[in-house]
Amino acid sequence: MANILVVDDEADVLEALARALRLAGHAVSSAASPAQAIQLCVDNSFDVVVLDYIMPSMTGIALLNKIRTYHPTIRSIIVSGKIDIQQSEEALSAELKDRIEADAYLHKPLENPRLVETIKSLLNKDETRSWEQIAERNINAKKREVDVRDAERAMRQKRKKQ
Amino acid sequence: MATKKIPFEASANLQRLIGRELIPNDEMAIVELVKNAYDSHARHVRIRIQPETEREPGSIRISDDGSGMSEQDIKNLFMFAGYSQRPDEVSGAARVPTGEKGIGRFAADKLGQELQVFTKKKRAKDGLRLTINWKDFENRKKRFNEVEAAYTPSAVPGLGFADSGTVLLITNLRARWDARKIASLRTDLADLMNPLARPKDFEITLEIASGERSDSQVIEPQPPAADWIVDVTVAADRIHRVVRREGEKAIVEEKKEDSPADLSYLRGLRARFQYFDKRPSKAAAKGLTAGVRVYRDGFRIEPFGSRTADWLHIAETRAKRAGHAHIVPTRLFGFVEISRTSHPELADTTSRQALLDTPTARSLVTVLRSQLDALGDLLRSRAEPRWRENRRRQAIEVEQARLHILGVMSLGLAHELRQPLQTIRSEAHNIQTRLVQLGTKDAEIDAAQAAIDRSVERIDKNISLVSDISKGSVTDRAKCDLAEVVQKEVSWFALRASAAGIKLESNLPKVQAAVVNQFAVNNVLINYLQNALESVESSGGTKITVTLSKRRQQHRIEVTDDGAGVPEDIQSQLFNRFATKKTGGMGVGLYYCKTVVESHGGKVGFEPVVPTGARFWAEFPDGDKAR
Repeated sequence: MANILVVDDEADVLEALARALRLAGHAVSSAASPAQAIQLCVDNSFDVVVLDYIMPSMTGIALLNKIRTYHPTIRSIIVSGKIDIQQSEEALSAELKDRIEADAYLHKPLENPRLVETIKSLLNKDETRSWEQIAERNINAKKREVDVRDAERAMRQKRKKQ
Repeated sequence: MATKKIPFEASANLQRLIGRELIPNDEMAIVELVKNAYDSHARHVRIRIQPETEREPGSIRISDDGSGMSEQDIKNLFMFAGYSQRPDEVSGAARVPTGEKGIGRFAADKLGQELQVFTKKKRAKDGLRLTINWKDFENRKKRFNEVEAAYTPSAVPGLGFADSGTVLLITNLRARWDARKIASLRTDLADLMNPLARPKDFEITLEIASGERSDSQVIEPQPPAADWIVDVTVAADRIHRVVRREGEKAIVEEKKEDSPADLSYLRGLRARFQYFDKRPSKAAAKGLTAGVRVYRDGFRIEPFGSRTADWLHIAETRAKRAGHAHIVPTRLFGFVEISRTSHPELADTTSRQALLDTPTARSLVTVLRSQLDALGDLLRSRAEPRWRENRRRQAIEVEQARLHILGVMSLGLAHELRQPLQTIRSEAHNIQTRLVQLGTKDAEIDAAQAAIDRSVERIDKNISLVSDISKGSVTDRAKCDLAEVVQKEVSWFALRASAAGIKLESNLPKVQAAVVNQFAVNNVLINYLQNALESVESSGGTKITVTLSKRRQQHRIEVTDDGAGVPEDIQSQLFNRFATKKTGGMGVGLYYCKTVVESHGGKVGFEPVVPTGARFWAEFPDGDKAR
């Protein structure tokens, strides 16, 4: 049994996934928005977070980076309806791991057993993360954020000039 | 009062009008001087240009091994402005002069302020040196015949007792001779000679001095690299025409025709027309301007081929038909070779006005005109009608617009549809799990759950298909290894095929470099493989083969299966919209393949396989060759 946080802006999907995990025997909290998710993270501790990729106020990745400031060791799964089925999930994970750094990526619509299995394997992973690794990752994330912001600013200025 | 007579007198300024205004540019001024050398029976003309540098003043030297001039010649010919010998004044053995205006020598004024003429006759002890400063003509009050040139006996550098020739040395140059100007001179000089039959006994060397070194080259006339080549020969009383197309080995057309005109004086006449499908670049035209030129014994005769001489009525025909005539003057180059010995009728009358006025000359025009009409007909039969071209372009534009909208929609749609699908799938599973937890384990419930799962899977695949189709642009072409692209797709399908117990074989070259639209290739392949897989699966076949090959710039992909094949009644409409034999098929896959491939100038097709099965193929033109 693990403490799991599920975040999805769509109530039905949120409830379906939460129910699936509850039925599988986990303690589940659900958040219908990134803000609510952060609120929950302040007061509680979680082993795993399952995030939707596309949400209205921020992406799953941005939210994941925020959550990590509270729970640096939290395991994460990003679930997306946007991911291309042609690309195998493994290949995608390998490609994106460096960029987004969630622990797993799953394609929507996914089967419940698959989600349960993935969580199980993440929890069983005998990977005790060293604090140095985590710190490094957080720094990298900050750097990326800055890079992205710079790139966006440059693009805006370019557009203005045009 | 008795009648008196007053002679005309000319201002010295007249020379300026002749020398500078009548000669369009420096390059043509040199060409005029080279023609003069030719007319003096020179076999070799050497032009040496010393561009101006910081150390050295520029100079142009034109030396020939022609007959040279005696003191008398200088008085009677050189110093007599506006006079040139007419063809009939030249003895039979000599060349027919190309100069007609008698002003070529004044061209030197265009080039530089000072001219020195060294000239020597054969077996004369000494030559002459004549110095002319064109500035002397600048005084408008002076009379033309008051301007004098000093001449002194002098040795001519490089000429021995038995030699003859003339050297023109022009100094105080008016123009800067940079690389561009020199290149343009080279072209203009080359244009004096027939690139397909260089004049015998005449050679031009252009030498460019720069510092200590000098670069000397014989001028080699070159024909343009056109798309169509038409060779016309007059043999006996018939005209022989051979049409070839660049890059094609086989002759497009070969005909022997009777002529509407009298050919008796045109025997042995050769002409070549070169025609471009599109207006040629300067490089493709080898610097030449379009036009049909006439050469006498390899040497160009004016004004044929010049912009204003529409002597074969090409521009006129086009104007009359308001653009519907198939021969466009700016794409046509012609080289007509006549000879003094074989066509005396033409040779003796080819002065500016006379050519068009003799019956033989008129026959020449009729003959060539009929050949051009034949080329026009051939082009018309070959050309794609404009409406078809327009229609195809429109089809591409419509397809692009469609794909764009589809792309925008599918992005949102994919997310929008997958969210509820997730709910359906998860909740169905949750119900089943909960029932198990409540102690209800039932095969019917399991089956229902599995059915929901399968349906969700199918919707999801269709969402993927739509977003794949709308991905990428229809027009982009990129370099790729086609073998690798195909292999990638094949290995992806191989997993699915082997799961269904079907063998997926591929027969690909190791590497096949291509410039194609990968997106189109992928789509076609996915569609073909998907169809083959479904067909083999449902009919108990065993094997699918993918083949990639290349022939004549066409990449060909084939997908062959040993499934049930395509029922005959549906074969003819296979690639039409909404034609499907599958239950559950959308009937757009093959139609879509056809549209995409055709918008790339390619083709798709189907053929049945004996004893059972189907083969679908697609051909893509490679890169730049595609229209």
